[in-house]
Amino acid sequence: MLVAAILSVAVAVPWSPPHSVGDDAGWTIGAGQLEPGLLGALARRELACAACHVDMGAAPPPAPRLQGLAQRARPEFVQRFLAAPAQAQPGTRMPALLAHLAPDERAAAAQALTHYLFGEAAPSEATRTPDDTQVAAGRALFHTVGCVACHGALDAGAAWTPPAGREEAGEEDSDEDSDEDSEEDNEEEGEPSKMPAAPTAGAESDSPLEPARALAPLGHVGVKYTEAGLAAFLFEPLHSRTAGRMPDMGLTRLEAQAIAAYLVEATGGAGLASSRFVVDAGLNERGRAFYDALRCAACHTDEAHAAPARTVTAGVNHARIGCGAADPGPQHTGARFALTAEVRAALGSASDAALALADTIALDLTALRCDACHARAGLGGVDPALDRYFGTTQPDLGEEARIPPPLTHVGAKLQRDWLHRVLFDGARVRPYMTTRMPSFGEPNLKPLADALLAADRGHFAAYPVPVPEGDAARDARDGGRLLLGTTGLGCVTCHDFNGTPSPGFRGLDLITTPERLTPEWYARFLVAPQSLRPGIVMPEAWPGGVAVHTGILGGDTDAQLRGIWYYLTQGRTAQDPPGIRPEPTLLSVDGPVRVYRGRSRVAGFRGIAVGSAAGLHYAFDAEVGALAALWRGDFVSVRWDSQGAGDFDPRAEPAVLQRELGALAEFDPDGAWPVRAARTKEAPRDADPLYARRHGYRFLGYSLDSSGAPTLRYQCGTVTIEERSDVVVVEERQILRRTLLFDSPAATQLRLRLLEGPVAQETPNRASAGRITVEWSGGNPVRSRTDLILSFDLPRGRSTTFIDHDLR
Amino acid sequence: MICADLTSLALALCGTLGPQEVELELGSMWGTASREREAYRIVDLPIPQDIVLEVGAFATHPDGRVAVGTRRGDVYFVRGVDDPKPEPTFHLFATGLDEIFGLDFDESGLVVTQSCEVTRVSDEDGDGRADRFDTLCDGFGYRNYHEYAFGSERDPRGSRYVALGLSYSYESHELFRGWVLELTADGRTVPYASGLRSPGGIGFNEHGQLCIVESQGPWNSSCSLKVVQRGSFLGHPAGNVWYPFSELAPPMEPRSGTRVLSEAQRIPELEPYAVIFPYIRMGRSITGFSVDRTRGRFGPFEGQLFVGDFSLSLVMRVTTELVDGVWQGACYPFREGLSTGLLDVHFTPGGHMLTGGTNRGWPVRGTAPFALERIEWTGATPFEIRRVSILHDGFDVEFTAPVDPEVAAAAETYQLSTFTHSYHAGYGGPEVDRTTPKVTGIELSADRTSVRLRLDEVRAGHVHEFDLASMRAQDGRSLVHRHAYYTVNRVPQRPHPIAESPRWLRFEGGAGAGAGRHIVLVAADQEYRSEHSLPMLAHLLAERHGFHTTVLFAQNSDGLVDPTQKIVWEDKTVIHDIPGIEALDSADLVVFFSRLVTLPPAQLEYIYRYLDSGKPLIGLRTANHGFIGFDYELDGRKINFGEDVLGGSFRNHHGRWHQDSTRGLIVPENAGHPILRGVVDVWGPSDVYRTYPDGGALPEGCVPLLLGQPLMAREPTDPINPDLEPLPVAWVKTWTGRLGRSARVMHTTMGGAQDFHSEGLRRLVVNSAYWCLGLEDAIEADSDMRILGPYSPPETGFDYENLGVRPQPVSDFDPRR
Repeated sequence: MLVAAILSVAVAVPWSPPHSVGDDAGWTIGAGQLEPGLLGALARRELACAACHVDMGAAPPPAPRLQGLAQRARPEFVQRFLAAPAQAQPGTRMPALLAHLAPDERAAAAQALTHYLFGEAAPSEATRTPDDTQVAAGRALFHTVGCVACHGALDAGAAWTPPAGREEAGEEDSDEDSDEDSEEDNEEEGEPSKMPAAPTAGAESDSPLEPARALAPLGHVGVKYTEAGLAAFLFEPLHSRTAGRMPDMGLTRLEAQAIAAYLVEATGGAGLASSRFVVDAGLNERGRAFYDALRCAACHTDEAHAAPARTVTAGVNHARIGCGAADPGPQHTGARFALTAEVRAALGSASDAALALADTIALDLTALRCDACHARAGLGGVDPALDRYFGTTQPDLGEEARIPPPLTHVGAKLQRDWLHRVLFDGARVRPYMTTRMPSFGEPNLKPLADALLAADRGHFAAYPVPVPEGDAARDARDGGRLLLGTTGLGCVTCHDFNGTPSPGFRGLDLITTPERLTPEWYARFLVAPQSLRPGIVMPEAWPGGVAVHTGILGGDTDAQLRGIWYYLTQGRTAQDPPGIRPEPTLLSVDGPVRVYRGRSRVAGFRGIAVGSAAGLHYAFDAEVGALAALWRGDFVSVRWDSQGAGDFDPRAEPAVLQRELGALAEFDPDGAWPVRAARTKEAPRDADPLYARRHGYRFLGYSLDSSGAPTLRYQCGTVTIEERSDVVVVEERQILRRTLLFDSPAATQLRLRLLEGPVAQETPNRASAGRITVEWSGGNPVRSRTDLILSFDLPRGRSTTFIDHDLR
Repeated sequence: MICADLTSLALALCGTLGPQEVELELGSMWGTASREREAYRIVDLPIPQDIVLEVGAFATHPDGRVAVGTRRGDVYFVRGVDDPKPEPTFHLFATGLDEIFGLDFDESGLVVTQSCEVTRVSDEDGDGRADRFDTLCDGFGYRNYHEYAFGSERDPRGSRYVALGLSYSYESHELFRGWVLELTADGRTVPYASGLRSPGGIGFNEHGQLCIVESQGPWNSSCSLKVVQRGSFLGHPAGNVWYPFSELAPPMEPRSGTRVLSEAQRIPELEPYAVIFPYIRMGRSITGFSVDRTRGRFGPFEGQLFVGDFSLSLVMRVTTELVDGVWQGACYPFREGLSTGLLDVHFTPGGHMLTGGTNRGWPVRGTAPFALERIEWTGATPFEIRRVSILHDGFDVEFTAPVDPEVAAAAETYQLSTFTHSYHAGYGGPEVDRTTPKVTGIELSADRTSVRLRLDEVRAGHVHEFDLASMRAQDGRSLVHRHAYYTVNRVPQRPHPIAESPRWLRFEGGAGAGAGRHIVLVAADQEYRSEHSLPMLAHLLAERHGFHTTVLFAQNSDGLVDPTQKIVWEDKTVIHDIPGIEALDSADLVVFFSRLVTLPPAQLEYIYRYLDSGKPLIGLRTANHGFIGFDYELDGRKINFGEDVLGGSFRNHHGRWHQDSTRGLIVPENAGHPILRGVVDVWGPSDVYRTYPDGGALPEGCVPLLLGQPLMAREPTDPINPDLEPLPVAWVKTWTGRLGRSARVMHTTMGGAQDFHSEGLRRLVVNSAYWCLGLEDAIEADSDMRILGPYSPPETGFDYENLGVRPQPVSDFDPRR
């Protein structure tokens, strides 16, 4: 009632245009690129005409969710925006809804609505001093990941520039640091010269950039958002703007915070005071009434508000009468859109006819701004003025590594499922491209995906790739492998393969080819890359369709193309092509002690390798409780490239001590030390599976101290042994000192076997075998020639002994 | 143009093989990813660049983080896996372990199954990094990289289980390779079950039963889900060499080239494979599994099992059920298109499914070397086969949405076929013994979400493959996945089709070859005390041979069994009444023992219908003159029940009525007939009937089994009567009714109640029941024919008063009373 009164009163007062905005503040996406009819259809959809009018097409894309507005926006801005949207935020598609009111009433209504939309108190935000590092990172990101495609560059200096001497770079400068290099370049070369000229309405742009296409200006951002609110929005834009017109750039939380910090500073929001907004209950209630009366829920659909009834507009020229008109006159109490003249004219000429497939594609590519990065059939592509912001870490791969791929015939190029994965699931294959392909939300892209597939499918003649069998399969596989390798076409010198980096340039990984591409596009592209990608650096390997390598697969082009395809379908098990080789992983120790369990030739399958930064390492065989090997230098390399777990291999030739049980409670000094059952090819089965158990051995585990050094625990009969080994310096030599802590329930004897012969006993408590010398205290040697066995008389309870191992 | 010469070939091939359906070596995908994504989205969880996350196992930390164990031996605690836009953080908890395929939290912390042992991993100093590693179980050999170890969670008794793959995946060179070990709550390691080949996961199914998944290979023609019980033998004999190191008794060696089910009958320890995953169509190497207990947050499959596949990078669903003490169930496609080879799937606290793995070492569809991906329900309910459950005569097929009743009612909507595998030592194996069951009945539930399918046969030992390509939901949608695969190990017993009633006797079948079959016995004579003998036989057939049986009686107007009733020749007003004769409709076999009864036309109609049905019948003694007013015509000719159906009718007493007795003599040329298996001695005090004229013979088509030799008097030891030739007293034949359906028929003219004291006669009749039903393979010479309880029927004859024969309630004839 209250609102009705205001509205009716409002009409009664003399009307004067509340504000006028120039064309440059109007919504204009698609202008200059689309036929007027199509532009009109686009405008109808994007301006959500159908939200209010039944005869204006299908359900429009949803307007931003207003829930949570208090968490991201500033109430001052919202109030200003409601009173005059296009003035507060040039380019907005939000129409003015209060324009027909007298200025004071308009302000009051905007205030009430703000109190309603901020139904809960906005969190106050302390004024923050901008973090320079963060701002710099944000600036770099903004100008690197693709924001500029829609919003324009804010900082001319931040652009990606190809490294100097690009032509020569191939030979010398292709190391893997180029990634970092280019980013550093960005920051160093980025002149922090002047504050960017935010392309705000009416502001004179003195930017050197004159983008040819309409941009979505950001001048309002600093005053609209709190920094935290902006960061949250940038992290998950689809959460509040479900229509995907601001897509998700795949920013991490930290990246979103950096860009937010930068944008807030760049657009005048830095240091903006933010006081706690207190919601007035009365205003809130009036705001709700306005919300209903102004039919806000028609566009801002949510569960709390029913969608208002829609009306018919038959016969209306939308460019001249009503919401779309430049001046709808004082009697018009509805929405007023700020539009450019071109859009306005197009709106008037929009037809109700169903669109052709090509037109729906053009419409979507424009509406979602795909055309800002991708070209398709003459439409769109990177704006030359923004070209420099499209970077790569692999400049030698040419423009293909830098400029997002064209979408011409993309529906015939990509497998349907792969297209879906790219569009809906964020699948990406070009890690070197600094511009990111954003996510728009599956519902927003589904029609486009369907249309692309429908329009393009069948464009190329089918190219069957039947699965070969028997010898043919082997030949095809081997042929494909040789062709990809340096033995053939050398594809792997420019392409990663199966996760293994190319030794040269790092072109996209070839192993995904059959998963991504249709065979017909693949075959055509391989034979004539230029026909599909003019200017690509990829060489022609079958000039004129004729195989260069006549020695492989009979020099038959189709056999070779199919051989490569078949070979690539082997996936991970595809044997690497000649020319690349995965390196074993080197585990190094440069801090705490490192413990690594795995199988090895030196310590069996239950081996424990222990590495120390001092450079003296050992391996313990937990299956038998024996110190098995010692080595100096680097720690171990580990193979993680096949079916098995990572077996470790000492990086230097180890000295092997012994591999049988390390300790025995019961032992006849005249008899042999019990050894593991030998296994042979003829008798591979373990003939004595209880070998260690039978002799009372049991491994109990280990604990790590604060340095990461393990104390190993095991049982020998009734005796529990805790053993740790430390690298100590004795007479300027690094040696390994084993400390053995025995715990026995009764006085008993225990024998340790330390070396496998031939052994030379040098002193009563020192002996050596091979490169190892051991020195002990407390034990008595009971045998010291064929092997070294010490006997210990253990008291009841705990006792300790030390054994030093020196490795020459 | 490129390769112009190929265009024609391309066109020729593309008619059947479109560009999307290019056959790759790994096997075709289902091609359903686009439909699947409407209900189930795959979300990539970004992994920091410096972390290699080759997931081997998942578990949920008590604090809500998800623990990930990797093939590289690291354990990460991951936070944020359920965030709308996930940007999870990874905390390295433990490192330096050896290929992790099992994680489980308990009150004391984390238990890790790594290749070399099961280890308790704890953080004693509370700095967030593991610093204590206690060996819980290493009582098994490990000397080949392919000897993987998978660990389960705890069961309610506190035990965990470790599944140990074979050496090189073919041999068992090391202790307990190919076994499941139990790690008890008190820390003991107990050998639990043998027969594994190269398991891909161990855990509990949706009913809490311990299971492993096994890969296709030797003794495994396809991948399968197998149930593990203490003492089970799971099919691959290589590991059986370690039985001497366990307390379990070794099973017999399996014979290669057989079938699992037949070998399981011979080897009691052999566990039939509960759910078979048809090779390639349903994965190539199935791995870790997890039960959806998200209370609906993951969509309409609450309580079902989800299992990943390594080679094909996809996830399947499984449902299991226990039938007759044996586990079995079905598998269904669910979601394809994951980025790497899956080694485990796991439900998060937020109700999503985490998947992870690697593509290292084997051919894998997904091209990412490793990945962490989340499958989340979009809220849209896919139109899917929710579950297939077995019934005694078909399946219950449940859908996630109401179906179109017209499509659902059409038999051709259900394309079914079955196959089984050879159980053999070779690697993998083809699908053999294909059959195509016919749909014989369709019932749609009231809410239209499930269909009860009746089939002409449900075959134990076979995978039943459902293809419902043409099924439509009420809203017109087709199924996202048209297939389901049910492995039948047991066909559940059909319930007794007849309700309890005081007007007849009803015996529930027990275990036995006759299980699920229904035999109706009709006692309606006035002379030979069938009201005593048939309940005895019915009890025996049910209790000792498994048949459901129902005995119907001729009853008077007081509802009493009344052998004293007159016949219509004696009293023109007599109409006999056999209450419950409707039971013939559900009978698989009817045993007639009537004598000159006059039934109302409505009751006769049931008999006529039975004669049309092609189902078998047995006639005893007077059954060959069992009916008066029998009005059944075939080809314009009136049929005589005795002559035409049974193969002969009473002409006269060949033996001397009430003076001699009958010795049964096996007809030598038919001695091999299955009905005679174990029949060695038949004698009864009834005399021999003549059923054909002197000098004649049994009608054509009758195969005589037994000749009746009249004896001199009424003791089994009495000499034969040399003046009376032996005449056929038992034979078999075929009857074909009006619909052209043929039935097996057995008739014996013996059968006075006293005759059934002869075990030979009982065996003859019971064997006949088997034979009539086509179960001759199940006839065993020494099967149990002992009468249950006391059996002392009155003498035969019409001297009712002296014999003590009088109208009595049905219950008086119940041998169980």
